[in-house]
Amino acid sequence: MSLLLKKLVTPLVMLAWATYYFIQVSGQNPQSQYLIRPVYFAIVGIFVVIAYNEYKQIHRDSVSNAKPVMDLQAVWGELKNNHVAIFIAGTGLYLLLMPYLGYILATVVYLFAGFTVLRVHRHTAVILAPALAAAVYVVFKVLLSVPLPTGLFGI
Amino acid sequence: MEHFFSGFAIILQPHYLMFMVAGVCLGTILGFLPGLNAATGIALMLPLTYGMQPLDALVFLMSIYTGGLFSGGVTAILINTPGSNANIATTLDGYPMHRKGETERALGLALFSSVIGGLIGTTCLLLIAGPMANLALKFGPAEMFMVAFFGLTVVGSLSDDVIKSLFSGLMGVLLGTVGVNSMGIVRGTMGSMYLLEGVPLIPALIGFLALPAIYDLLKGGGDKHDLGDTKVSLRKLLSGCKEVLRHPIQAVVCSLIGVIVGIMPAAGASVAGILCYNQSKQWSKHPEKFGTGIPEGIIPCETANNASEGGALATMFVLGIPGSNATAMMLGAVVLMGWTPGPRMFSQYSDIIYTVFSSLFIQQLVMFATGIGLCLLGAKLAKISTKYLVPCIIMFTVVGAFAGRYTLFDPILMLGCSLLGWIMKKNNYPAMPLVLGLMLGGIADAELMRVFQSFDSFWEIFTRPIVLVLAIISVMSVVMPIIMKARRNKHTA
Repeated sequence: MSLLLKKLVTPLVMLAWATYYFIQVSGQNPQSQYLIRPVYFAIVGIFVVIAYNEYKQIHRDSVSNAKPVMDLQAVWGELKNNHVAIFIAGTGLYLLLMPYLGYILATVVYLFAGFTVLRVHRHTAVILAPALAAAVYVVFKVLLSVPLPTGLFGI
Repeated sequence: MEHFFSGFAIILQPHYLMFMVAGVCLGTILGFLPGLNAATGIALMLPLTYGMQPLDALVFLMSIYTGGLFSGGVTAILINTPGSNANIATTLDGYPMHRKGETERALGLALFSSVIGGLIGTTCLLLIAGPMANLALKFGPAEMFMVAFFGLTVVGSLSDDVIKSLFSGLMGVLLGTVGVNSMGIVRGTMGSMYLLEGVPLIPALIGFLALPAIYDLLKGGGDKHDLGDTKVSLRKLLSGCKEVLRHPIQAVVCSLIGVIVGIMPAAGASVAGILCYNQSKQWSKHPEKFGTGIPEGIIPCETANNASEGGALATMFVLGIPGSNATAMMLGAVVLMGWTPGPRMFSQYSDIIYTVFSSLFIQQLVMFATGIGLCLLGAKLAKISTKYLVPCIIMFTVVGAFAGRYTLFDPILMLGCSLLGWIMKKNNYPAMPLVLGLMLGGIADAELMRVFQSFDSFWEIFTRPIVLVLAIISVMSVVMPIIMKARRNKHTA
């Protein structure tokens, strides 16, 4: 059951949002539901088919004993070394800090941290991070007049 | 057509030539970098086009696309890794040729095949776009709704898992209807004023299409590729180019197949390349030699994928349906310019669009000139480790998403979309149908409302021949792959 739920996380998240949206639109003018109503019901129908297919697949795998049971320690190890998770979380933090630190400072810290995670030589990272941040700043702020966030320090 | 000829006078001005050289060089260089392709290149360069005139922006982005399509073949030859799916078949004979010590020959073949494919594709684009647009101008709300529906079903059916593709596409349609609709009703914004105009296209495109591909680069931890001996001599490169002329029929036929495949929404360059490789093998007197490093194995994929650009651009400009990730990005750029994708776009901006077609011819020549130079550098560029690229690219996409509306909401949304896109990719849910749904959802919704206003009942639209034909093709494009898959499973069981 847990394996089935794990496999259905992606469509479940999507279905949850679709349901919220459908409920919200249901209270509105019928004309604004012309497309949304049939599309929502089609999504629900396809979700049922996907769930059935996944269930069948898991059942088939369990009969042939194809998949070993997941080891929690292995999962933790995978998560620790998962650069994707680190980068997504790091980019989220970068975006949260940017209004306070300003574009330049936040970008230098982000790039330096990113290079460090990917084991770029420290001296190279120290030179590359501010150089790249400055280059992008010149292109966007100076040449394209994009008002990049300045933060509490005014830079 | 007069716009096309006068377009040459415009496009040959130094200003546009500079855009073309810069775009083709950028596209080629980005294509050389491991894991990057034309679509990523366009996504990265989109922010630079925000302040540009529509013609400047389109010429620049098209040039990146042209350069990126060719350079994907270079990495396929040098490191057995296609720069994009469009160049998969090039690895089959290109890499063995490189291992035999005939690197220059393979690169020359790929370059000149790309140029020939591009020229034939552009000629076909010029010939078919006008008649297609004239037909499309007769479209009313019923036909427009069905075109949007057709685009979605075709995308769904071209993926490995039809059911998951449809699920993804329908989710995209719902996302596409978020915001204020044509009656002024606010839907699904969750109270955010940033979503009133709908889900912003550029952050969503970068998030769903470009960033998951960048995250995949992190898996290798920044490995370098072993390229072996890759010294490239100009003389041998040019003799490789000349060799394409010894296979004129193969080059022309594969280009024409490429154009036809390119017209089909979402089929694009990758299907064209593989299809033409297989056809060439079947038609060859020596099919057993394919895969050992022969010119006949490089020409089909490289001509077809570049020629398919012409077909895909016709569908994009005339019907407003993107044929690939790269054309989806380009359509995003078109929306940013304030253009509304669809049949009327072509007639409204025909002068600009025909000038862009003129530029495509020049771009092929620019690609040939710069391609020769960049082939000499290609080996060095392909060696750049991804550990230097990933943080820079992510930072650049953040700034690019911000620069559209000067709000941090957009990069945050982009990051959310990238997370969803990456999870979808891991679970075999294709992102392209979702993106297409996002683009077509709003159009389909508005046109459906007009259908209900114009007709007594919805079913009445099927009395119109174009609607009926599109409906039949749409149903077939969903049902046929399911039947064929079931048949395949039955045979293998």
